[in-house]
Amino acid sequence: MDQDLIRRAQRGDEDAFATIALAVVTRLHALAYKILRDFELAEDATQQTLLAIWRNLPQLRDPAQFDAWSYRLLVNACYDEGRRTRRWSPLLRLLPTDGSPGSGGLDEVVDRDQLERGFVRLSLDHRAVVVLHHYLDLPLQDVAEVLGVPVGTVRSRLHHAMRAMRAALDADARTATQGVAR
Amino acid sequence: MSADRDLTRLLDVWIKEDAPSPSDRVVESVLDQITRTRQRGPLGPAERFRRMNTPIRVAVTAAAIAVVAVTGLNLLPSGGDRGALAPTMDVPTHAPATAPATSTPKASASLEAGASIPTVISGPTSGPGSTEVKPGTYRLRGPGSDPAGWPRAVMVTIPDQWWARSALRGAGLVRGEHEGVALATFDVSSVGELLADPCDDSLPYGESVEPPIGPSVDDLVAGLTSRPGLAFAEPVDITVDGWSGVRLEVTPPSRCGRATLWLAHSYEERWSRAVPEGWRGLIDVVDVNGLRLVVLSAYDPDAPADVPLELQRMVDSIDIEP
Repeated sequence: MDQDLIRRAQRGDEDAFATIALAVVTRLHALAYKILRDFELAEDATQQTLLAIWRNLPQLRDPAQFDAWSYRLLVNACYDEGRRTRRWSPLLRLLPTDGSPGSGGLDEVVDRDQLERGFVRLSLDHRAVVVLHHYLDLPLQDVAEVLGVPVGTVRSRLHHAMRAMRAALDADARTATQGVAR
Repeated sequence: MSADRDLTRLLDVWIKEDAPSPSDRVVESVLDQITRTRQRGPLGPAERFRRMNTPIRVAVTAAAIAVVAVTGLNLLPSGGDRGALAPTMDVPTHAPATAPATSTPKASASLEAGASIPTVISGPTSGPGSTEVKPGTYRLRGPGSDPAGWPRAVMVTIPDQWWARSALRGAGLVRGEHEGVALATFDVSSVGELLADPCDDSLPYGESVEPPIGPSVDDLVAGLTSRPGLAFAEPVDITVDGWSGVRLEVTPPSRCGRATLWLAHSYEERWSRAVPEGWRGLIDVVDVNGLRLVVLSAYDPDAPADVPLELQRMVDSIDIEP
């Protein structure tokens, strides 16, 4: 992010902020969507985050830290949105058409849906860690910085999340096997 | 699915799939709002030094500026009659209790015998914004979602032009749909933590004082008045509907955009209560047979003259059924 833009926005330059907002909105929304798994909630969280960026930008001492700082604002907005409503909207996805027929293609579909189901069972805290680490490829230390928690907490949450998702996938696999056996 | 499947590999592939793009309205709405949204001032030298030795903290402000209002009041219908109100959000809320003026005797309840008590509207079910609370008398629910946790019914009369804001937890109201000029929040036996630094706006919350504060009125008063930077007037004894309590008047320090007074929680929910910079905050802490009722009312000194009067009338309207 252009640090001059940030500095200008810090001084109240609305045009500079508009440029920043347009530059980050898609990335922030993608993050929110991957955490919340709901398009409307993700839009709301993104909107709240952009407003929070505007209000608090003068307090960002180091413009070079803008990305990590904005991620943290985004995660907090996701917490707010996620706790405001506990509804879960099942996602409809376009199935890939280039997968090979037979078990390979089916496994891809099964895996994707199973991952989705396993993921939405995670708490927001765990989802945020998974998304920051696996989607943004942030090292665990950087995830800890973004979330403002010790790196040990990040490791613990990630371990729990992966274990929970693995258990969910295995449970689905057992159900599928039993269905086939009938 | 094979037990040998590489979960990490699958997760990496799955999570990096394209996400749908946001609509244009997201940025358009934000750019419209910033024209009337004030930015916070930069951190002072002392605060910058303090933050240099800590992990990066995100200064996040709740979406509703200057609004501590919680998700709204969860009202239990009287006799099953929910009245003509919007659906209630399923969130744990605490009845806001407004404290009467320190030297004002208990005002008579605004309830009429036999009047049905409508259900309070909490925040809108989707999207940012607010839900207008229709003027009337509402019954407030106790801690969590278990009405049995609060053995007494607490009613409060809410006047016109008060809104329950979205994305806010707890129970609270804001005067005005957008730029709030006043707030009223209510916590029933849920205030449990005080921040070591009221100006600490780390995410999700700043560092709390250990151990958590005790359950009594005196515990909360002592804890609050010992927080650094918070200026309190001398506590004044009050009564709310005949129940004894204490009123504190607080002035947030100028070094923080808003002063977080306490963290409340119920079951898995946590939320903060704060007073914006420059506002006048009144905290009424009432002992209702061992349960602590805490009402925060605050307003912008530049608000219309009737706003503090409205707040006081809400406090005066509190009726606690035996």
